[in-house]
Amino acid sequence: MSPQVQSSDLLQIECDYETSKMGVLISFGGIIMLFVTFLATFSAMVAKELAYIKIDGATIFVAGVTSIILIMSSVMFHKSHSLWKKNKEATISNYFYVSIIFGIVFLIGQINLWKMIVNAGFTSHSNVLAGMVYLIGGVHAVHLIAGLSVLGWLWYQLIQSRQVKPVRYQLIGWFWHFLTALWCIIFIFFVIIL
Amino acid sequence: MEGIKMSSSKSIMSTHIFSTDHKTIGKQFLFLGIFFLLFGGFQAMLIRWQLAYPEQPVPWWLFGSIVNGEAGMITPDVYNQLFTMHGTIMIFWAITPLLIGAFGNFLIPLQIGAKDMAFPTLNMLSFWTFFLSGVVLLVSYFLPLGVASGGWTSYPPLSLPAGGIPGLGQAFWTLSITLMGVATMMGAINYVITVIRLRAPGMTYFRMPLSVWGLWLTSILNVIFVPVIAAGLIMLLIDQLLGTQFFLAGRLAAGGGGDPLLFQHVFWIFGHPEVYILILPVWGIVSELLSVFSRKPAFGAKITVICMSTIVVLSSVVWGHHMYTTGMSPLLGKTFMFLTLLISIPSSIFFFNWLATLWRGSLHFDPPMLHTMAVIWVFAIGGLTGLYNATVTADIYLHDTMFVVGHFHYTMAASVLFGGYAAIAYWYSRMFGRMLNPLLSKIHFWGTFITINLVFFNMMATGYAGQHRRLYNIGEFEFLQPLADMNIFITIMAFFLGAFQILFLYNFIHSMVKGKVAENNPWKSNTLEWTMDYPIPHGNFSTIPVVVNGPHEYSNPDVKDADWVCQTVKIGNES
Repeated sequence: MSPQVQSSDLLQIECDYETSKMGVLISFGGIIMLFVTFLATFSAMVAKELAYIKIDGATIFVAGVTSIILIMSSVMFHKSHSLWKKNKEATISNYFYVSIIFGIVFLIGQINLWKMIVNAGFTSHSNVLAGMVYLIGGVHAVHLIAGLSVLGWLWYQLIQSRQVKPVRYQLIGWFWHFLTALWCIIFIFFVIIL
Repeated sequence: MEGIKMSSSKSIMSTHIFSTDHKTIGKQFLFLGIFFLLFGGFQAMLIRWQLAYPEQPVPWWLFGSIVNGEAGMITPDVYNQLFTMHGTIMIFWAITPLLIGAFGNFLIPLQIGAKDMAFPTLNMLSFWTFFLSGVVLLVSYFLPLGVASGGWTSYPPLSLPAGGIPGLGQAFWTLSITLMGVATMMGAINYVITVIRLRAPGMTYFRMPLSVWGLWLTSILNVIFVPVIAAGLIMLLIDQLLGTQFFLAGRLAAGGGGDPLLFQHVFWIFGHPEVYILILPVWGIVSELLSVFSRKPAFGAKITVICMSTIVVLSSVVWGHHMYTTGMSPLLGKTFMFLTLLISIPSSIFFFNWLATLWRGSLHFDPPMLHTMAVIWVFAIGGLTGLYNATVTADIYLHDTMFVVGHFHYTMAASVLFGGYAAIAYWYSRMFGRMLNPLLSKIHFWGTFITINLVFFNMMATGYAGQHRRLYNIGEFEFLQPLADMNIFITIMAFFLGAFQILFLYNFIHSMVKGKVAENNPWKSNTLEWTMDYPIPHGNFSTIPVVVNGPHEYSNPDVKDADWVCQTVKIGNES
């Protein structure tokens, strides 16, 4: 029989590195299922010809540029992480700031993108496909805002010279890269389907 | 498990309210689940009153004075709200917290030899998010136009303002289920990772108790399919609140509109796995308890695990059998029928494994075993009647009749209820340090078993005779007149069924205070949760146990002087 713990003190249990990674990966799985459902519903609406939407070249160009900005943001974060590790986890690099700024620029670009589609006459009330575009973009944006909040938290920890666990820095990066990859897939999907 | 920090701060808030101890969280889920079980059950009584005594005032003993209606009677609107909220509450706020929340939390770390869940804080947040979702649902009772009334499936266009249901009740319904989904995801991620990462040394997957297997497979289904319904609910919510038309069509849609059937697909892609999400923990618990109370190894335990896993996979490709009457192509209908009927193969295999476990066992008919045996009975009836619903030709006749209601109450309500009672009776001593009163438990069991069968079996009979499941007043239909007496009988039995649950509640609460103090291992079980003194401290094990044999080594000839052996004690050549 196992010996017993007699103390009723609280135990705060911290999960290890691999457990944290697995938690993040499984959460990604959940987010992927959410977007797969949205995209499948969108595909069904297109297949059933419930509505028609035409995206012009300018809109696609702006969407492409914002996508590249998000990819750059992801690359910058990766560089900031590499430098942080190289500098023995002591400094915060400019790459980190650029990453956050690019993330915000992407969000502003998204708002402009939606405005362009609305100006083209496709509102969420009149066209279900446009509604889906806004919804999918909006839900992704909500995740992105969550990502930016976490980046903000990380930035605060770093400027306060507080010790940040390497796994946290890495996993925040994973989340940011994941959102970038997710957006790229969504963008390519829209381009192909529409 | 690494990096354990000791804290000396102790307060009611940290130990009982916002505790990160999986056992406390499990008990919180249990209490919340019982509350909603009673609340949802009370609504069932009102539904039955209306079906037996249409448009007659609700009596005082059914709290007639608080029923919103003319002269205390149940109006059609209130009736719609009753069956909507009964289904919703029972599925999402009673069964889910009782089985998955309570026993998932309480058992998984204890049975796999872990100190806690992988993410204790996330676990605590899961409960409080779940609690918040329940509050949002209950708040909707105070809305001017009342609660949701579009059925537990909330199909559009009915569930949309343009489709006929005014007010914010439906939106609150959608919001509360979405919140509940978030809580479920938090819990599911925790369960999945805890099992993968925190098993004690020697606790291989096939040495895990079958109850853990059931809970783990359920969590995997939750992780995969809860986001699917979340997507559908988000679309439904903005249809309800912002006026988009994803699920509106025809003249109800102002600008072309979408397709209501899309919601049905999304709903059932989640909804059918949800059936297994609810029943898998029960299968696991039953498989384990049959072994304990037969004092025999669980027959074909590995095969049972493989069968449950197969069902997990198959459950994701059979949603169309809920939609045979939506005009799907015959080929698609036949495909869904074939896939659905395929589930009967693994189901039958593990069912026969249960019977084989009983065969020539040394059966102990303690209360947990009685409830476990009841699961075998009700699941057999529920499963066999499912074959009719799975078959296109039969289902087109039976669809939306009381036959379906009887069937899914056998599989989901009765099976889960008995499974839950079995689990409570079995692990009560680990949770509260005392035993349930065995006499009251047995009276509760027999009363429940007899009445539940008289209620649900007769429901199937009325359905087969043509009674539609959502009729407000069957007296308005000439062809249903011969069923009036049977409906009265079902209702009276339902009242008795409800009364026996009050007995359970009394026993549950009374035994917590006055029950016989339990010894550490009253059922002589092998699994790890019985190895500690009560109360089990936060952290469970001072040192992580090393597991050397399986969970079902009962009556092993190599073990002398006992018919059980703890999983940490080496026997024979087992290594």
